[in-house]
Amino acid sequence: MSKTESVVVVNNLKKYFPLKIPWLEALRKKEKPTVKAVDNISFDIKSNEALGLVGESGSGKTTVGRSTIRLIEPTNGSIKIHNQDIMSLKGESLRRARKNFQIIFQDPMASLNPYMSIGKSVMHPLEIHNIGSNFKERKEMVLELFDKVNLKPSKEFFNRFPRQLSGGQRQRVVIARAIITNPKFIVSDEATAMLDVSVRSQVLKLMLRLKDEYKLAFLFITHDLASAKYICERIAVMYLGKIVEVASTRELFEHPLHPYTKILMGAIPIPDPTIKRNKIMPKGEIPSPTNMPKGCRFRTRCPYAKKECEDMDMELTDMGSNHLSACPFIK
Amino acid sequence: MSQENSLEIKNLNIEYLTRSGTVHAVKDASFSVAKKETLGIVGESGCGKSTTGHAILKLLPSNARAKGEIVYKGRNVLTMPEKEVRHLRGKDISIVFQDPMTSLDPIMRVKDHFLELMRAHKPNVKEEEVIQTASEALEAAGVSKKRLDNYPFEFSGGMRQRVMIALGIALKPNVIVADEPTTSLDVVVQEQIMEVFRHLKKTKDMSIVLITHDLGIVAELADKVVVMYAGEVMEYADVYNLYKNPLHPYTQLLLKSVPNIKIDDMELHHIPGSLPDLKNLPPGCRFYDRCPFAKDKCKKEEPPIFKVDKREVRCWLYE
Repeated sequence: MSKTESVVVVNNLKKYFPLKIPWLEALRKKEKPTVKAVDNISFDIKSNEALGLVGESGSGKTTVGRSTIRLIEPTNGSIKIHNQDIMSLKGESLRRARKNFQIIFQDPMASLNPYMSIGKSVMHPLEIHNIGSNFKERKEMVLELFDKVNLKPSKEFFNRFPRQLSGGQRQRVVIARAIITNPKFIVSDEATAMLDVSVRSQVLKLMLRLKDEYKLAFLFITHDLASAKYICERIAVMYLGKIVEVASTRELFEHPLHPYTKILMGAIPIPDPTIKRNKIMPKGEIPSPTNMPKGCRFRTRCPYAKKECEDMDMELTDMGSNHLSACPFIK
Repeated sequence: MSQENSLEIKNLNIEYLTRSGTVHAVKDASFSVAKKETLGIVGESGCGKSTTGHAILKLLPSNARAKGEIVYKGRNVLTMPEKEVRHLRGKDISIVFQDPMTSLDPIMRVKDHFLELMRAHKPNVKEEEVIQTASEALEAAGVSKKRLDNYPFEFSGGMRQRVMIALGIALKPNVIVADEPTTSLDVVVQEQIMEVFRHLKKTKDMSIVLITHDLGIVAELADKVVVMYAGEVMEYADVYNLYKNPLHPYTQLLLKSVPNIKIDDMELHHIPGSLPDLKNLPPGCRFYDRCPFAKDKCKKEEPPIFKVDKREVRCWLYE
C-alpha cells in the first residue's frame, strides 16, 4: 500500500493519561503512573475507504478517534491528514484545518444545541470556516444537503428543533453537519449504537453512500462487528490500547488470526437460530489498564496462552497479503 | 402449545395516564410461557416490551392502568393484593433488570442482598442457610462464592449482572423475567452472560421471559418469540419458523435490517417512517404508515390476530 495516496496517515500514536496518586508517593516515584489508553498505534486510510476500529469498551478505540483529530492531545505520534501535519498545528491554523476532518458522535441529542434550529446548526460550520458569501447562499447549501441525507421537505426541516425529530433524523442532521464543509476525513464514534434496528440500517446506508459520493476517508469506530462488516473495507481490532489485527474485511471474517478476534467474532449473536457455532470463550474479563499484564496484553484471557507470551511485544507483523496480526504463534 | 404453562397472559392492556394524555403502551397482548421454555419478547424502543415484562411482576408505576389477565398458578397476578404479590416476587417469579449498577444497592454487600431477599420470604432465616443458597446461586451464575463479602462497586459490569442473575435464581423461581439483561454490556461479556442463561436452561426447571431488542440474542436463546410493535403483539411463533419464514411485514423488514456477519455483501433494508404516537393512535393497523403491503382496509380497521399453522399474526394479509 503506497502511503502517498492515503488521506490519513497515523504513525506511532500514543495517548497516556496520568493517574492521580497521593503526592508523597508521586515524589518517591521517578516514573509517573499512567494509563496507556493508546499505545503506539499506526494506521492509514485512503480516500473512499472506511477503516473499522472495533473492540470492547476500554480498548481505547474512542481515544484513537479523538486524538487523531486532536480533540484530545496525543502524548506522542505523527498524524497527517490530507498531506497536512496535524501535530504541528496550533490555535487558528488548527481551527482552519478542522474543515478537512469532522467527527460524528454517538448521542445526537447531546451533539446538537437544543435551542438552535437544525438548519442553523448545520449552517454553523459554514460560518466558522467562511464558506459561502451570504446567508442565502449558505442556506441553499444546507437545504441541498438536507435533501441528500433525506430530511425532506428540506425547507420545513430547516426551522425544526432537535426535540421535534426522531433519533434517526437527529443523527442524519449530525451527519449533515459533519459533511457540509466537504471534509476529507470523518471519524464516526459509535454513531449508530443508540439507534433502533430499523433506523440503524438507514443511517449505515447513508454513511456508505456519502462515503462514496464525497470520496471520504472514514474511521468507523464501533463495538458492533456486523455494522463494521457492512461499512468497512478494512477492519482493525483493538485490545487494551493496541491494535491486535488488521485485515481487509473479507479476509478478517474468513481467516481471523488473532485469538482475540476469533473470540470477538464468536461472541456476536447471529440472527439465525439454525446456526450453531463452537464458541471459544475468553477467560475472565478485560484487565484494568492501570495494571496491564506484561508481554502480550491478551495472554491473561487467551485460551492459547503459553510461557513465551509473557515476554513478547505486541507488534503487528504481516502474515501475508496485508493481513497484520500481533500474535506470532497463530498463522 | 403445551398444556403445562407456567405463565399465561391474556388480553393484557396497559395504559399510562400522563398529563398530556393517555399512552396506550400495550394492547391486547396474549401469549403463554410453557415450563422450561424461553420466550423472547422482541421489539424496538417504545414497543411495550418492558412494560409487559414489568407487568408480570406487577411492577408498573402508579400512573399505569393494567387490564387483562396474567395467570400464574391459576391466579391473576394483576388482581392479587400487593401483599400476596410480594410473596411471589423473587420466590416464584423474579426479574433481572437491564442496568446492574442501579439495581444493586451500592452500600450493601452481595451477601446482604441475598439476606434481604431471603428474609422477605422467610423472616427468621439463618445466616448459614443464606450463605449456602447464595453460594450455590452465585456458582450457577459464574461468580465465586468468595465474593459474597464484596460491595457492588468492586465488580465489573458483567460480574454485577451475574450477581443480579444469581439473586434472580436464588430462590428457584418458576419464571424469571430478564429485561434486556445484556444491553449495557460488551459483546464478549454479553456472550458470557448468554452462556449463563444457556446453562440455566439446561440445568434448572425454569421458564425464562427474555426481553430484548436484539434479534441475534433471541435467535440464540429463545424457543418461542413474541414480536411487538407500538404496543401490540404483531407475531407470535416458534423461533425457527419465525426466522425462516416471517409472516408479518414488520418482522420481515426487521429481520432484513439487521446486519448479519454470516452473510457477505448483505443488502440492508430499513423501515421508513417512525413509530405512531402512542397517545394519539390511528384507527387502523399501527404499522400502516410504514408497511409496504398496506391496503385501504389496513387504514380503517385494526387487524385482529389470525392463526396460521399454530402461529399467530396480526395482519390483514392472513385473513
